[in-house]
Order: sequence, then structure tokens, then C-alpha cells
Amino acid sequence: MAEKIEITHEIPRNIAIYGKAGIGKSITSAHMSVALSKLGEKVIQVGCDPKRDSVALLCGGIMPTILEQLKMVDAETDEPVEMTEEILDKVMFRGYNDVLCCESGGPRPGIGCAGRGVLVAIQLLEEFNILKRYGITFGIYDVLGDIVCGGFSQPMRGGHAKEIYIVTCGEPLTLHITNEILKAVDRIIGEGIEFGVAGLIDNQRNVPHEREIVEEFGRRVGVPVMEHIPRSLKVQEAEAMGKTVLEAFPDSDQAEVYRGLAKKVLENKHIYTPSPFSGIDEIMETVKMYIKK
Amino acid sequence: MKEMRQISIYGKGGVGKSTVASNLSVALAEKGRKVMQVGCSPKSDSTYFVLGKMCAPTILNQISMKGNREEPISECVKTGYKGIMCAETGGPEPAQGCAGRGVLLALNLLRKYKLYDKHGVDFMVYDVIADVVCGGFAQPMRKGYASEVYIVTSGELMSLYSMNNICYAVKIMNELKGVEVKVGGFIDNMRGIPNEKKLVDEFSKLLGVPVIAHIPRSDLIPEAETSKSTVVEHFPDSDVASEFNMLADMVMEPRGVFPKPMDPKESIGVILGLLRKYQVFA
Repeated sequence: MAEKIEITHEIPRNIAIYGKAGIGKSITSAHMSVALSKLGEKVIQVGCDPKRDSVALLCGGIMPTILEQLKMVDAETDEPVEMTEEILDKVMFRGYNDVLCCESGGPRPGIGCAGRGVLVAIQLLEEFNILKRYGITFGIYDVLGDIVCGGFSQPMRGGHAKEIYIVTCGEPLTLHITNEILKAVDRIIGEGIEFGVAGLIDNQRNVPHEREIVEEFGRRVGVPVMEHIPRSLKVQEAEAMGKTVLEAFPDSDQAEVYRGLAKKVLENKHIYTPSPFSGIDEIMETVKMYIKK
Repeated sequence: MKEMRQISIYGKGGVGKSTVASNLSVALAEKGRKVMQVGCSPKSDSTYFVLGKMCAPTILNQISMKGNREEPISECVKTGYKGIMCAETGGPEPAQGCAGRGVLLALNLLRKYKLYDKHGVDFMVYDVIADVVCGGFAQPMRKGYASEVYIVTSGELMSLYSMNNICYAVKIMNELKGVEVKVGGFIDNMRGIPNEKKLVDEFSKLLGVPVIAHIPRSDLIPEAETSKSTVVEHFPDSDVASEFNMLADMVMEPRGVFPKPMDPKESIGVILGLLRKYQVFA
């Protein structure tokens, strides 16, 4: 059974964003970072994805990554990484509205282990006590969650984020992956690590009856849907300008949706131990009830 | 016996690789080919719509339960719609281990026991997670499983960015000794973006790779999928099904070029230029 747990927020408060590849984690993270910073939080966003595009909308483009700047010749050699403070100027950036940004990066396409970038990023944050040094009150880890291999589970496992949010939509296979992430969460909670899922974020794909499908999914797994974000060309238009809609179109409806989401996240006081579906067939049966005409 | 073709499907996460791979397999089978589709992702859901259920056990699961001898591994190969043979490599337990290495081990066993020959397969379709293009997931290219690569894309900024990155990985692979990987073409799985065809066509031309299909966006796809089926099987007379049939005709002819990718960092600027040129944004 799903279990609801009340949490007290530490400062800084750390959350992690997971979700199927391509679902919009980075876009959601970047918008939450900006909206939270407008609400007075001092935010850091840590991109934990070899695609390295997490903070692009905050910084106006693709930024140098930690792995790149550390000049690790080959991630496969496992040589110890030497870090000096000089590295900070090369990997920590002040993005829009003073959101602090960094990007773990990954190996060269086709070579080395992708999860390693995440481990190195976390190592760097700890070694230089980054959160304290920059007076951070709110940390967002944007994590490639499709794979849930050892490297990518680190923000959960290492206790860096007690509160995770999963970006999803009404597509059948996306709900399946969301469920797989919930299973991974369950497993890690079972190892005695204290954390949980705070909510689902429905980043809509215009599937018929999408809102009802995602609500029903949330009910069944025992995790609330924090927000339904409508699909909007405004987001892509802003993306092409290298900006969030909050910066490019602050008066748009879409900007208001993200501000609403940030407010709910800020006020959230609960995490949940989910009760995932047994498997994909059970999910399909549930979705089918809504999609049949 | 016809010579066995082996193709692999790559593309950004969420772009529709498994949907394209499954519909392509079904269309090829309907044209008389004996197809085997292998899902190479820890998600293990590539063949779900061909088989109508999860393909279980996955090869890696089976290895951990019953070992890696021929008999248990053969049990992982299932027969789906139109006699399509299905298998899933599987992955390590969620949140543990390296996913890419597991995939390669599973593919090696399929090859070692010649499980495709046993079923008279003449067309292999590998559906590969490629968003990460870490060492593990690039192994199918490196080890000769994927010497003919098809890349699924769309007119979205990040899909185009990823498409160039995959071409870049292909180029790196070709610099390795004894490796030859060609790109058969781009498959535009449209997202309903203004001027999407022109946009994808023009960016593709810059990379020196042809677009071999533009698949229209259709609500029939999720409808077929919730019935655990492909759109080619479920709505054979629809426009989208006929696009997949044409794609199958294209893929049946062996093809392939060495792509001319851009530096990933420079590609964003080029893509933005095209998005503006084609007035994707009002």
C-alpha cells in the first residue's frame, strides 16, 4: 500500500526530477528553477544527463560540462579525478535570475560510461561544499531516469534528494516507464534510504483523455498529480530563443502554469512511498478504459 | 535462402523508436520477410505491440535464473504477429549495474547460438536506446550488430540535435579499426510542427543522409497501442499504415551512407537558424 509521509524541509532543500527520456524533464526543471527563484529561493540546477542540455534554457545555450572541464582523457581508465578550486569558474554558471547552473556531462558519444558524469558532479558539489558556498536554499537535480542504472540512481541512493518528482504524460509506454521508476524508488526505499515521491507532473502530449488517464494512474499508484502542463508551441518558441517561457513570455498562460507548479512544490509537505502497478498489462487495461470511444 | 539483413533503429528518447521499429517489423513481415525484432533496452518494451504482451523472460533475466546455455536462451525467443520472432535483451535490475554491458552480452548469446538461423530469420531489426550513446549502448555498432543504422527523428529542436549526435557517434565508430557503420536514412516521426517536412529535409541534407519517410502524427497509434497492437495491424487501411508500408519498401533495398555530422556544439546554432527560416514560431 502507498504510504504518505510528512516531511520537514532542510535548508537547502533538494529535489530530483526523473522521467522517461524525451518527456520534458529538462524543460520542466528549468521552468521550476526560474519560477522558484522568482519566489525568492536561491536555486541551483544540476543537469545529470550526458545530453548536457539541462541548463541550456537558463544560460542561453549549451554550457561546458564538469567532465569536459576536468579533462578526463578517458572515462574507462578510472583514473582518480583531481579537482582544484579553479575548476569552479569553469563549470558553475549564473543563469537567468541568478539561478546557479552546472552540467555533469558525459563521455564522448559512443565511448565510456554515461553514469560516471553524474557521480563526478555529485563528488564535486560535495568536495567544494557548493550549496553552502553559494548560499543555495533550493537544489534541483535533473536526472536521466530512463535507464536507472547505478550511476543515475545516485541522487536518490546517496540521500541527496529526499523528494523526487516524476515527469510523465498519458502515453501508454510513458506510464509504463513511470511505473518502472516507481519500482526503482520502492527498491531503494527498501534498502532503508529515507526518501519518496512527492508528485507526478503531467507534461501533456495531447493524447485523447490525457488528464483523466494521468489522474487515474496517480490514484492507483498512490501519488498525487502536482500539475497538468498543456502542450504549447510557446515553450518551443522560447526554447529556440534559448530561454524559458517565464523569461521570454512572462505574461503567457503557459508561464502562469509553471508559476503555479513552483508554488505547489514550494508548499509541498509530503512524500509518498508508491504502490506501483504489477506490470504493463495492468497499466494498459487502465488506460484502455479511457481511450475507447 | 535470402541473405540476412541486419538493421538497427536509433533515435532520441521519446521520439518513437519502438513504435517505428514495431510497425516496420509488421510491414516487412506482411511483405513476406521472416523478421526478428530485438529490443536492446533495459525497458524491455520494444516488442510489446508485436507480441501483444511483454516478452518474458528477457535474456539477462534468464541468464541470472537459468544460466547462459543454449536451451534457456532459446526460450527467450517468442513468436509474435505474422510470425515475427521477438526477444528482449533486458537490463540489469533497476538502479544497479551497467545497462549497456548487459545488452551486449545478450546480443552475443543470440549470435553464439545462431537463434535467428534456427527460425529461418532473414531480417533482423534491433531497437536500440541511443539517447545516451555511452560506450555500452554503442556496442551494437562497434561489434557489427548494427552496420546499417536508421535514425528516428522529428522537427523538434532536441530531436534534430540528437540525430546529429548519433551521426557523430557513427563517425567516431568508423574511425575505429575494422568497424564500418553506415546510416540507411532518417525516419521523420512527425510531431505536427509547422513546415516539419521541409525542416527535417533541409537539416538532413546538411548531414548528407536522406529522409526515407515522413510518418504523420495520428491518434490511431495510441489507440492501436492500448489494444496492444501496431497501427499497421490494427488499422491496415489508414494513411499512417500506408506510410509504414512505404517505409518497409524503402528499407528492403539495402542502403547506407557515411554521414557528415556537425560538431555537436555547433549544431544547435544551425538548427535554430532553420527553425527561424521555416517560421516554426509565429
